[in-house]
Amino acid sequence: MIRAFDRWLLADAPAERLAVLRIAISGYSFIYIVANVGEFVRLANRSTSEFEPVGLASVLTSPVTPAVLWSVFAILIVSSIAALFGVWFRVTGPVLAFAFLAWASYHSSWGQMLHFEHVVTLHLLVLAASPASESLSVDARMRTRQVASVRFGWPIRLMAIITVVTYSLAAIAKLRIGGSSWIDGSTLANHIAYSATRLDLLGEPRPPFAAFAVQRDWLLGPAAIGGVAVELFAPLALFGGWFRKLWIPAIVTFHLATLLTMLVFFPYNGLGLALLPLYRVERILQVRGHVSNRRNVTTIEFRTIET
Amino acid sequence: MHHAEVGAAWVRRLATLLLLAALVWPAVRDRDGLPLSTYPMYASSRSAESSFITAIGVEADGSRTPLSALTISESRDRLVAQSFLNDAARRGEEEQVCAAIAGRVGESIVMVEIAREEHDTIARFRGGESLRNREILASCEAVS
Repeated sequence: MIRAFDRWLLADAPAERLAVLRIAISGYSFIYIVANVGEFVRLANRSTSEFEPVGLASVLTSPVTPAVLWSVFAILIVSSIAALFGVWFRVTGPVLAFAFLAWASYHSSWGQMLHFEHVVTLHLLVLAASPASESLSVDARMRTRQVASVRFGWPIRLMAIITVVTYSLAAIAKLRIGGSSWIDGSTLANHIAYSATRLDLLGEPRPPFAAFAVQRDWLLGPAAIGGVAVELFAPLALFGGWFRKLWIPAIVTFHLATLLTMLVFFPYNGLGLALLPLYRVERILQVRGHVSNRRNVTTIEFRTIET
Repeated sequence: MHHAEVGAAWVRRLATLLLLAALVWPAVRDRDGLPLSTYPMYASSRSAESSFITAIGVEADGSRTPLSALTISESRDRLVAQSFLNDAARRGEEEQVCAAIAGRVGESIVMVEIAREEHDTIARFRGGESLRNREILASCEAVS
Protein backbone atom coordinates (compact mmCIF):
# COMPACT_ATOMS: atom_id res chain seq x y z
CA MET A 1 0.00 0.00 0.00
CA ILE A 2 2.89 2.36 0.81
CA ARG A 3 4.46 1.53 -2.56
CA ALA A 4 1.16 2.20 -4.31
CA PHE A 5 0.88 5.54 -2.53
CA ASP A 6 4.49 6.34 -3.44
CA ARG A 7 3.82 5.56 -7.12
CA TRP A 8 0.70 7.70 -6.99
CA LEU A 9 2.46 10.57 -5.21
CA LEU A 10 5.41 10.71 -7.61
CA ALA A 11 3.58 10.01 -10.84
CA ASP A 12 4.30 12.13 -13.89
CA ALA A 13 1.67 14.54 -15.16
CA PRO A 14 1.53 16.76 -18.24
CA ALA A 15 2.33 20.44 -17.76
CA GLU A 16 -1.11 21.25 -19.13
CA ARG A 17 -2.83 19.59 -16.15
CA LEU A 18 -1.09 21.88 -13.68
CA ALA A 19 -1.63 24.84 -16.00
CA VAL A 20 -5.37 24.23 -16.19
CA LEU A 21 -5.46 24.12 -12.38
CA ARG A 22 -3.57 27.44 -12.31
CA ILE A 23 -6.13 28.97 -14.65
CA ALA A 24 -9.10 27.58 -12.71
CA ILE A 25 -7.85 28.53 -9.23
CA SER A 26 -6.52 31.96 -10.23
CA GLY A 27 -9.73 32.62 -12.13
CA TYR A 28 -11.76 31.64 -9.10
CA SER A 29 -9.63 33.95 -6.93
CA PHE A 30 -10.27 36.87 -9.27
CA ILE A 31 -14.04 36.30 -9.37
CA TYR A 32 -14.16 35.68 -5.63
CA ILE A 33 -12.35 38.91 -4.77
CA VAL A 34 -14.45 40.97 -7.19
CA ALA A 35 -17.64 39.41 -5.79
CA ASN A 36 -16.46 40.23 -2.26
CA VAL A 37 -15.72 43.92 -2.88
CA GLY A 38 -18.52 44.68 -0.40
CA GLU A 39 -16.52 42.89 2.31
CA PHE A 40 -13.58 45.21 1.65
CA VAL A 41 -15.92 48.22 1.98
CA ARG A 42 -17.28 46.81 5.25
CA LEU A 43 -13.90 45.99 6.77
CA ALA A 44 -12.39 49.33 5.78
CA ASN A 45 -14.64 50.99 8.36
CA ARG A 46 -14.62 48.57 11.32
CA SER A 47 -13.68 49.76 14.78
CA THR A 48 -10.56 48.64 16.64
CA SER A 49 -12.59 47.11 19.50
CA GLU A 50 -14.01 44.47 17.12
CA PHE A 51 -10.59 43.36 15.87
CA GLU A 52 -9.55 39.82 16.91
CA PRO A 53 -6.66 38.99 14.57
CA VAL A 54 -6.02 35.43 13.37
CA GLY A 55 -3.54 33.86 10.96
CA LEU A 56 -1.23 36.28 9.22
CA ALA A 57 -3.18 39.21 10.71
CA SER A 58 -1.90 38.18 14.16
CA VAL A 59 1.12 40.39 13.55
CA LEU A 60 -1.22 43.41 13.67
CA THR A 61 -2.24 45.12 16.90
CA SER A 62 -4.99 47.16 15.28
CA PRO A 63 -6.92 47.17 11.98
CA VAL A 64 -5.08 48.41 8.90
CA THR A 65 -6.03 51.70 7.31
CA PRO A 66 -8.50 51.70 4.40
CA ALA A 67 -5.63 52.62 2.07
CA VAL A 68 -3.71 49.47 3.04
CA LEU A 69 -6.81 47.29 2.70
CA TRP A 70 -7.60 48.67 -0.76
CA SER A 71 -3.97 48.17 -1.74
CA VAL A 72 -4.36 44.48 -0.86
CA PHE A 73 -7.52 44.43 -2.99
CA ALA A 74 -5.60 45.93 -5.93
CA ILE A 75 -2.73 43.47 -5.47
CA LEU A 76 -5.20 40.57 -5.42
CA ILE A 77 -6.89 41.74 -8.60
CA VAL A 78 -3.67 42.36 -10.51
CA SER A 79 -1.88 39.22 -9.31
CA SER A 80 -4.86 36.94 -9.93
CA ILE A 81 -5.16 38.22 -13.51
CA ALA A 82 -1.39 37.82 -13.99
CA ALA A 83 -1.47 34.29 -12.55
CA LEU A 84 -4.50 33.44 -14.68
CA PHE A 85 -2.58 34.29 -17.84
CA GLY A 86 0.75 33.03 -16.49
CA VAL A 87 2.55 36.37 -16.59
CA TRP A 88 5.76 36.38 -14.49
CA PHE A 89 4.17 33.58 -12.49
CA ARG A 90 7.29 32.99 -10.41
CA VAL A 91 6.58 36.42 -8.91
CA THR A 92 2.84 36.87 -9.39
CA GLY A 93 1.98 33.35 -8.14
CA PRO A 94 3.60 33.86 -4.71
CA VAL A 95 2.27 37.44 -4.54
CA LEU A 96 -1.26 36.17 -5.17
CA ALA A 97 -0.90 33.37 -2.59
CA PHE A 98 0.53 35.69 0.06
CA ALA A 99 -2.05 38.42 -0.61
CA PHE A 100 -4.90 35.90 -0.47
CA LEU A 101 -3.55 34.52 2.81
CA ALA A 102 -3.36 38.08 4.15
CA TRP A 103 -6.90 38.85 3.00
CA ALA A 104 -8.35 35.58 4.33
CA SER A 105 -6.63 36.19 7.67
CA TYR A 106 -7.94 39.75 7.89
CA HIS A 107 -11.43 38.68 6.76
CA SER A 108 -11.61 36.16 9.64
CA SER A 109 -10.21 38.59 12.22
CA TRP A 110 -13.55 39.96 13.39
CA GLY A 111 -14.79 37.23 15.71
CA GLN A 112 -15.95 34.76 13.06
CA MET A 113 -13.58 32.26 11.45
CA LEU A 114 -14.69 31.95 7.83
CA HIS A 115 -13.66 28.40 6.94
CA PHE A 116 -14.65 28.65 3.28
CA GLU A 117 -11.39 30.47 2.46
CA HIS A 118 -8.97 27.89 3.91
CA VAL A 119 -8.70 25.32 1.10
CA VAL A 120 -8.35 27.84 -1.72
CA THR A 121 -5.63 29.59 0.30
CA LEU A 122 -3.73 26.32 0.74
CA HIS A 123 -4.13 25.45 -2.95
CA LEU A 124 -2.81 28.87 -3.96
CA LEU A 125 0.23 28.40 -1.70
CA VAL A 126 1.04 25.05 -3.34
CA LEU A 127 0.40 26.47 -6.80
CA ALA A 128 2.71 29.41 -6.09
CA ALA A 129 5.62 27.06 -5.38
CA SER A 130 4.99 24.96 -8.50
CA PRO A 131 5.99 25.30 -12.18
CA ALA A 132 2.37 26.03 -13.06
CA SER A 133 3.14 28.48 -15.86
CA GLU A 134 5.23 26.17 -18.06
CA SER A 135 2.25 25.64 -20.32
CA LEU A 136 -0.80 27.65 -21.41
CA SER A 137 0.76 30.89 -20.28
CA VAL A 138 2.45 34.06 -21.44
CA ASP A 139 5.59 32.84 -19.67
CA ALA A 140 5.62 29.70 -21.86
CA ARG A 141 5.06 31.42 -25.23
CA MET A 142 8.64 30.97 -26.42
CA ARG A 143 9.24 27.56 -24.87
CA THR A 144 8.97 24.14 -26.44
CA ARG A 145 6.23 21.91 -25.14
CA GLN A 146 7.14 20.30 -21.80
CA VAL A 147 7.13 16.53 -21.43
CA ALA A 148 5.13 14.96 -18.62
CA SER A 149 7.04 15.05 -15.36
CA VAL A 150 6.75 14.53 -11.64
CA ARG A 151 7.49 18.27 -11.37
CA PHE A 152 3.97 18.87 -12.65
CA GLY A 153 2.37 15.83 -11.03
CA TRP A 154 3.53 16.22 -7.43
CA PRO A 155 2.00 19.67 -6.73
CA ILE A 156 -1.32 18.35 -8.03
CA ARG A 157 -1.05 15.41 -5.64
CA LEU A 158 -0.42 17.83 -2.76
CA MET A 159 -3.52 19.80 -3.68
CA ALA A 160 -5.55 16.57 -3.83
CA ILE A 161 -4.21 15.57 -0.40
CA ILE A 162 -5.19 18.99 1.03
CA THR A 163 -8.72 18.63 -0.31
CA VAL A 164 -9.40 15.17 1.09
CA VAL A 165 -7.61 15.65 4.41
CA THR A 166 -9.59 18.81 5.16
CA TYR A 167 -12.83 16.87 4.66
CA SER A 168 -11.56 14.21 7.08
CA LEU A 169 -10.61 16.83 9.65
CA ALA A 170 -14.14 18.27 9.46
CA ALA A 171 -15.59 14.82 10.19
CA ILE A 172 -13.14 14.21 13.04
CA ALA A 173 -14.19 17.56 14.56
CA LYS A 174 -17.85 16.51 14.41
CA LEU A 175 -17.13 13.17 16.10
CA ARG A 176 -14.77 14.69 18.68
CA ILE A 177 -16.92 17.70 19.59
CA GLY A 178 -20.45 16.55 18.78
CA GLY A 179 -19.96 12.86 19.58
CA SER A 180 -22.90 10.47 19.49
CA SER A 181 -25.46 13.28 19.15
CA TRP A 182 -24.02 13.95 15.70
CA ILE A 183 -24.47 10.34 14.65
CA ASP A 184 -28.06 9.95 15.86
CA GLY A 185 -29.15 12.96 13.81
CA SER A 186 -30.35 15.14 16.69
CA THR A 187 -27.49 17.60 16.36
CA LEU A 188 -28.00 17.76 12.59
CA ALA A 189 -31.72 18.53 13.15
CA ASN A 190 -30.84 21.25 15.64
CA HIS A 191 -28.25 22.80 13.31
CA ILE A 192 -30.73 22.87 10.42
CA ALA A 193 -33.46 24.35 12.64
CA TYR A 194 -31.00 26.86 14.13
CA SER A 195 -29.79 28.02 10.71
CA ALA A 196 -33.34 28.44 9.45
CA THR A 197 -34.45 30.29 12.60
CA ARG A 198 -31.47 32.61 12.28
CA LEU A 199 -32.57 33.43 8.73
CA ASP A 200 -36.13 34.02 9.93
CA LEU A 201 -34.84 36.47 12.52
CA LEU A 202 -32.87 38.29 9.82
CA GLY A 203 -36.01 38.52 7.69
CA GLU A 204 -34.54 36.33 4.98
CA PRO A 205 -36.08 33.34 3.19
CA ARG A 206 -35.65 29.96 4.86
CA PRO A 207 -33.56 27.24 3.22
CA PRO A 208 -35.99 25.45 0.88
CA PHE A 209 -35.61 21.99 2.43
CA ALA A 210 -35.08 22.97 6.10
CA ALA A 211 -38.65 22.31 7.23
CA PHE A 212 -38.82 19.11 5.15
CA ALA A 213 -35.69 17.74 6.83
CA VAL A 214 -36.52 18.78 10.40
CA GLN A 215 -39.99 17.23 10.17
CA ARG A 216 -38.57 13.80 9.21
CA ASP A 217 -36.70 12.14 12.06
CA TRP A 218 -36.22 8.92 10.07
CA LEU A 219 -34.17 10.83 7.50
CA LEU A 220 -31.86 12.73 9.83
CA GLY A 221 -29.96 9.81 11.41
CA PRO A 222 -28.93 8.22 8.10
CA ALA A 223 -28.20 11.67 6.63
CA ALA A 224 -25.90 12.52 9.55
CA ILE A 225 -24.06 9.17 9.36
CA GLY A 226 -23.78 9.47 5.58
CA GLY A 227 -22.47 13.03 5.77
CA VAL A 228 -19.84 12.21 8.39
CA ALA A 229 -18.79 9.05 6.50
CA VAL A 230 -18.39 10.90 3.20
CA GLU A 231 -16.14 13.45 4.90
CA LEU A 232 -14.22 11.00 7.10
CA PHE A 233 -13.29 8.55 4.35
CA ALA A 234 -12.43 11.20 1.76
CA PRO A 235 -8.71 10.22 1.67
CA LEU A 236 -9.68 6.82 0.20
CA ALA A 237 -10.70 8.73 -2.93
CA LEU A 238 -7.02 9.27 -3.62
CA PHE A 239 -6.65 5.59 -4.41
CA GLY A 240 -9.15 5.65 -7.24
CA GLY A 241 -11.35 2.73 -8.18
CA TRP A 242 -15.01 2.31 -7.26
CA PHE A 243 -14.72 4.33 -4.04
CA ARG A 244 -13.73 7.50 -5.87
CA LYS A 245 -16.47 6.94 -8.44
CA LEU A 246 -18.95 6.88 -5.57
CA TRP A 247 -17.27 9.54 -3.44
CA ILE A 248 -17.28 12.34 -6.01
CA PRO A 249 -21.09 12.38 -6.50
CA ALA A 250 -21.53 11.78 -2.76
CA ILE A 251 -19.51 14.85 -1.77
CA VAL A 252 -21.27 16.96 -4.40
CA THR A 253 -24.60 15.76 -2.95
CA PHE A 254 -23.32 16.61 0.53
CA HIS A 255 -22.65 20.22 -0.51
CA LEU A 256 -26.00 20.42 -2.29
CA ALA A 257 -27.78 19.11 0.82
CA THR A 258 -26.13 21.65 3.12
CA LEU A 259 -27.11 24.38 0.67
CA LEU A 260 -30.75 23.29 0.47
CA THR A 261 -31.23 22.65 4.19
CA MET A 262 -29.03 25.33 5.78
CA LEU A 263 -28.12 27.74 2.96
CA VAL A 264 -24.52 26.95 3.81
CA PHE A 265 -22.34 26.87 0.73
CA PHE A 266 -18.57 26.71 0.54
CA PRO A 267 -18.14 28.01 -3.02
CA TYR A 268 -14.63 26.66 -3.68
CA ASN A 269 -15.69 23.16 -2.64
CA GLY A 270 -19.31 23.30 -3.71
CA LEU A 271 -18.49 24.48 -7.23
CA GLY A 272 -16.04 21.60 -7.58
CA LEU A 273 -12.83 23.69 -7.71
CA ALA A 274 -11.40 21.84 -4.70
CA LEU A 275 -12.04 18.52 -6.47
CA LEU A 276 -10.23 19.42 -9.70
CA PRO A 277 -6.84 18.03 -8.54
CA LEU A 278 -8.51 14.59 -8.61
CA TYR A 279 -9.18 14.90 -12.34
CA ARG A 280 -7.27 14.85 -15.60
CA VAL A 281 -8.39 18.41 -16.09
CA GLU A 282 -6.25 18.95 -19.19
CA ARG A 283 -8.78 16.85 -21.09
CA ILE A 284 -11.02 19.88 -21.21
CA LEU A 285 -8.52 21.26 -23.74
CA GLN A 286 -9.34 18.47 -26.15
CA VAL A 287 -12.43 20.42 -27.07
CA ARG A 288 -10.17 23.11 -28.55
CA GLY A 289 -7.52 20.70 -29.76
CA HIS A 290 -4.73 22.16 -27.63
CA VAL A 291 -3.47 18.90 -26.24
CA SER A 292 -4.85 16.04 -28.19
CA ASN A 293 -4.67 15.46 -31.91
CA ARG A 294 -7.96 13.68 -31.78
CA ARG A 295 -10.44 15.19 -34.15
CA ASN A 296 -14.18 15.62 -33.98
CA VAL A 297 -14.26 15.58 -30.20
CA THR A 298 -17.70 16.79 -29.27
CA THR A 299 -17.86 16.10 -25.57
CA ILE A 300 -15.71 17.11 -22.66
CA GLU A 301 -14.28 14.07 -20.92
CA PHE A 302 -13.77 14.28 -17.19
CA ARG A 303 -12.26 11.07 -15.87
CA THR A 304 -10.74 10.73 -12.46
CA ILE A 305 -7.04 9.94 -12.41
CA GLU A 306 -6.33 6.23 -12.27
CA THR A 307 -3.62 5.17 -9.88
CA MET B 1 17.34 6.80 -12.07
CA HIS B 2 19.97 9.50 -11.53
CA HIS B 3 21.16 10.41 -8.04
CA ALA B 4 19.62 13.86 -8.42
CA GLU B 5 16.23 12.36 -9.27
CA VAL B 6 16.42 9.98 -6.30
CA GLY B 7 17.28 12.91 -4.05
CA ALA B 8 14.43 14.99 -5.42
CA ALA B 9 12.02 12.09 -4.85
CA TRP B 10 13.01 11.92 -1.19
CA VAL B 11 12.63 15.67 -0.81
CA ARG B 12 9.12 15.37 -2.22
CA ARG B 13 8.26 12.48 0.11
CA LEU B 14 9.55 14.42 3.10
CA ALA B 15 7.71 17.60 2.08
CA THR B 16 4.51 15.56 1.66
CA LEU B 17 4.87 14.18 5.18
CA LEU B 18 5.47 17.68 6.51
CA LEU B 19 2.35 18.92 4.73
CA LEU B 20 0.29 16.07 6.22
CA ALA B 21 1.68 16.80 9.67
CA ALA B 22 0.89 20.50 9.28
CA LEU B 23 -2.68 19.73 8.16
CA VAL B 24 -3.46 17.51 11.17
CA TRP B 25 -1.49 19.58 13.70
CA PRO B 26 -4.40 21.95 14.56
CA ALA B 27 -6.59 18.91 15.32
CA VAL B 28 -3.89 17.45 17.58
CA ARG B 29 -3.58 20.77 19.43
CA ASP B 30 -7.34 21.41 19.20
CA ARG B 31 -6.63 24.95 18.07
CA ASP B 32 -8.36 26.47 15.07
CA GLY B 33 -6.46 28.87 12.83
CA LEU B 34 -5.81 30.01 9.30
CA PRO B 35 -4.77 28.63 6.86
CA LEU B 36 -4.50 25.47 9.00
CA SER B 37 -7.71 24.60 10.78
CA THR B 38 -9.59 22.00 12.79
CA TYR B 39 -12.61 22.65 10.50
CA PRO B 40 -15.12 22.69 13.38
CA MET B 41 -18.02 24.00 11.28
CA TYR B 42 -21.31 22.72 12.72
CA ALA B 43 -19.39 20.23 14.88
CA SER B 44 -20.71 21.44 18.23
CA SER B 45 -23.49 19.56 19.91
CA ARG B 46 -26.47 21.93 19.72
CA SER B 47 -29.75 21.69 21.58
CA ALA B 48 -33.13 22.74 20.25
CA GLU B 49 -33.15 25.66 22.70
CA SER B 50 -31.01 28.45 21.28
CA SER B 51 -30.34 32.06 22.12
CA PHE B 52 -30.16 34.73 19.42
CA ILE B 53 -29.24 38.39 19.57
CA THR B 54 -31.67 40.10 17.21
CA ALA B 55 -32.08 43.52 15.66
CA ILE B 56 -35.67 44.57 15.03
CA GLY B 57 -36.98 47.65 13.26
CA VAL B 58 -40.14 49.22 14.74
CA GLU B 59 -42.39 51.18 12.39
CA ALA B 60 -44.58 54.19 13.30
CA ASP B 61 -47.68 51.98 13.63
CA GLY B 62 -45.85 49.69 16.07
CA SER B 63 -45.30 46.83 13.62
CA ARG B 64 -41.94 45.06 13.92
CA THR B 65 -39.66 43.96 11.08
CA PRO B 66 -36.49 41.88 11.34
CA LEU B 67 -33.57 43.90 10.00
CA SER B 68 -31.45 42.35 7.25
CA ALA B 69 -27.85 41.17 7.57
CA LEU B 70 -26.80 44.06 5.33
CA THR B 71 -28.51 46.67 7.52
CA ILE B 72 -27.14 45.12 10.70
CA SER B 73 -23.53 44.61 9.72
CA GLU B 74 -23.07 46.10 6.23
CA SER B 75 -22.42 42.54 5.04
CA ARG B 76 -24.79 40.19 3.25
CA ASP B 77 -23.20 37.27 5.08
CA ARG B 78 -25.55 35.99 7.78
CA LEU B 79 -22.70 34.56 9.85
CA VAL B 80 -21.04 37.96 9.88
CA ALA B 81 -24.29 39.69 10.92
CA GLN B 82 -24.91 37.15 13.69
CA SER B 83 -21.32 37.45 14.86
CA PHE B 84 -21.59 41.27 14.78
CA LEU B 85 -24.57 41.21 17.16
CA ASN B 86 -23.17 38.45 19.39
CA ASP B 87 -19.85 40.25 19.78
CA ALA B 88 -21.60 43.51 20.62
CA ALA B 89 -23.66 41.78 23.33
CA ARG B 90 -20.55 40.02 24.67
CA ARG B 91 -18.70 43.34 24.97
CA GLY B 92 -21.71 45.17 26.39
CA GLU B 93 -21.80 47.50 23.38
CA GLU B 94 -25.48 47.05 22.55
CA GLU B 95 -26.20 50.80 22.75
CA GLN B 96 -23.38 51.71 20.34
CA VAL B 97 -24.37 48.98 17.87
CA CYS B 98 -28.04 50.00 18.12
CA ALA B 99 -27.11 53.59 17.23
CA ALA B 100 -24.95 52.43 14.31
CA ILE B 101 -27.74 50.25 12.91
CA ALA B 102 -30.27 53.07 13.44
CA GLY B 103 -28.23 55.12 10.99
CA ARG B 104 -28.68 52.50 8.27
CA VAL B 105 -32.40 51.67 8.44
CA GLY B 106 -34.98 52.73 5.87
CA GLU B 107 -37.32 55.70 6.26
CA SER B 108 -40.28 53.63 7.50
CA ILE B 109 -38.38 52.50 10.62
CA VAL B 110 -38.67 54.85 13.60
CA MET B 111 -36.92 52.77 16.24
CA VAL B 112 -34.40 49.92 16.48
CA GLU B 113 -34.38 47.28 19.20
CA ILE B 114 -31.51 44.96 20.07
CA ALA B 115 -32.83 41.96 21.99
CA ARG B 116 -31.82 38.56 23.29
CA GLU B 117 -34.38 35.97 22.23
CA GLU B 118 -34.65 32.36 23.42
CA HIS B 119 -36.19 30.01 20.85
CA ASP B 120 -37.10 26.35 20.60
CA THR B 121 -35.93 26.03 17.01
CA ILE B 122 -37.29 22.51 16.49
CA ALA B 123 -40.76 23.48 17.73
CA ARG B 124 -40.69 26.33 15.22
CA PHE B 125 -40.64 23.79 12.36
CA ARG B 126 -43.00 21.27 13.91
CA GLY B 127 -45.97 23.55 14.37
CA GLY B 128 -45.23 24.78 17.91
CA GLU B 129 -44.47 28.18 19.41
CA SER B 130 -40.81 29.05 19.01
CA LEU B 131 -40.19 32.13 21.20
CA ARG B 132 -39.58 31.28 24.88
CA ASN B 133 -38.22 34.55 26.21
CA ARG B 134 -37.28 38.02 24.95
CA GLU B 135 -35.13 40.58 26.72
CA ILE B 136 -34.56 44.01 25.19
CA LEU B 137 -30.88 44.94 25.50
CA ALA B 138 -31.00 48.34 23.81
CA SER B 139 -33.43 50.53 21.90
CA CYS B 140 -32.77 53.72 20.02
CA GLU B 141 -34.53 56.09 17.65
CA ALA B 142 -33.81 55.79 13.97
CA VAL B 143 -31.74 58.53 12.40
CA SER B 144 -33.96 60.33 9.93
